[in-house]
Amino acid sequence: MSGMTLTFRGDAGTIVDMSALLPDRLAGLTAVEVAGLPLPCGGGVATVGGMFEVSAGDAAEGLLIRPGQAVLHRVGAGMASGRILVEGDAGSHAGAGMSGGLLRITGNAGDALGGALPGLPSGMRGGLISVGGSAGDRVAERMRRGIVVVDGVVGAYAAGFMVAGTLAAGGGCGPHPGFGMRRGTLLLGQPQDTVPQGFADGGTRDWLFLHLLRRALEGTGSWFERAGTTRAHRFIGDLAEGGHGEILAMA
Amino acid sequence: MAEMHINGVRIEDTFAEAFPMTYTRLVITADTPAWVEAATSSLTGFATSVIGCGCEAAVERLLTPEETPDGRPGAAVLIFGMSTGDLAKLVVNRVGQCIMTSPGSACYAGLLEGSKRIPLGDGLRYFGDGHQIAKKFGDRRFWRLPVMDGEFVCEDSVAVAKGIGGGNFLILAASHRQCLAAAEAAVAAIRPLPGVILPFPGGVVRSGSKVGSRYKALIASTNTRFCPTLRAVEPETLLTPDVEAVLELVLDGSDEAAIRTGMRAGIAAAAAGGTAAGVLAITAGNYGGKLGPHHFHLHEVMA
Repeated sequence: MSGMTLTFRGDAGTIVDMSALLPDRLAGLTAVEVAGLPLPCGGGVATVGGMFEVSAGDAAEGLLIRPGQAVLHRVGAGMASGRILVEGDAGSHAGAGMSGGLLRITGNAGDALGGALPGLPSGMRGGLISVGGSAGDRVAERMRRGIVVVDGVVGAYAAGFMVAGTLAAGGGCGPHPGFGMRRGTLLLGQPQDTVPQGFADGGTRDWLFLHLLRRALEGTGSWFERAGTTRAHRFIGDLAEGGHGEILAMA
Repeated sequence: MAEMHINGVRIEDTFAEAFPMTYTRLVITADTPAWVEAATSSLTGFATSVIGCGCEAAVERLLTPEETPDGRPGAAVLIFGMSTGDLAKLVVNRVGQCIMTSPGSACYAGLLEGSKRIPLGDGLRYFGDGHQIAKKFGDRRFWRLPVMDGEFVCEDSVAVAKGIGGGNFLILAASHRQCLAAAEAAVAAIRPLPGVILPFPGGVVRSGSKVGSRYKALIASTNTRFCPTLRAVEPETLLTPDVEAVLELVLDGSDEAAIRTGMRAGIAAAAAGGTAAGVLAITAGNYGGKLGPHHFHLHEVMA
């Protein structure tokens, strides 16, 4: 990945709010200018350069983040365009409120991946998030549009209150999937033994539109790109919210 | 200009006159090539001429599973109309009645770039009676409509572009059988080419028309100058006594280059057997330059 690289060099366990470091905001800035930007961390404010080694390059061509042992919250939150690659783990609210662009996390992600930032009504509104590991609770909460694909497991309340969009979790999910879901798709790579609460059993079949999803995920290396089938068990719900959403569990 | 002959076949010093049209490209897929054929033959049925059908349509080429959005066999179809508004009505009706009804079919946009778009799924989604689902992947939006064999997947809209209709050439032959054989060879040469279609049955027209009629109700009537049976009574006949049959190929294309390439390939194929195969001459239809701005001079096309 060409572009700018941020390599964390601070103390292990340092908590950093990364929401200010977006490709479109950093576009055209030099490494020195980026290093001088303030960044909330650990209850205070430090400079980017104080915590990260900043390589030369233009963030407009991509932003590579190496978190080391830091806890990086809100990576890519509010991102509208561009690419962010996290080589390692991300904290909570990664890609929250995102409206465009690509966020790729090779490790695990915390809670509220692709969800809504506190106090805001909407989750992710566009773009693509790809996670190589697992993710925490409330992934894709209040999501309106876009794709979140997680190779591992997602936690409780996955796609909770989802308005539209697609969350694809290869390793399955925790309790209460699709709670309050209005529309949208929660795709699970594991069979679902029981009908999720609030959902109706819609039967098993091959889903043509999943071919289109697979095409959209080409190049991400995600679990669904490698899945050899589009056959899935459909559960329709949340019936308390009109029943226009769906959970698809791969058969 | 000097006379031109190809394998002894005379190429008349005249031109084909074509006119601007609006077109779009649809990608139709289905479970098997046979069902692709069933869907597209219905979609492109009764679409030979805008005069009587409202649009002109045909399969541009067949697509391999690797070339289609859903990895199934498919076909690219070109549909031409006289305006974006006309095309919008015709396309959504045809997709609704001919593709949505065909088992296992799906319909995608084959033209993605363009400022003007016409509805596909956007015009059909209410058939889902509230159960329709929109999915947006990247920049493309699709509709999933529940139907009796599962779901009909249809792209939300498709772009339209300016194209050309009415490219043509006529084959003059010593017998009907030889004329048909030459026309079939021309069709076979043109069909694999991108961006050009032959909207008439089998790619060939036998009832070429002229503007006007002795009957006031008709805007067009049989092209008497090319009717062999009227040669003795038509003062303006363009047929020599040795011509027994004439067949025409009409080409619609995405641009002048596509028409020109198609005409060149078709004429070369029609004349490949030479006069020995009974092909006497190749000519073209025009209206003295009054119909359209696109003029394809046969000698230039074949130069």
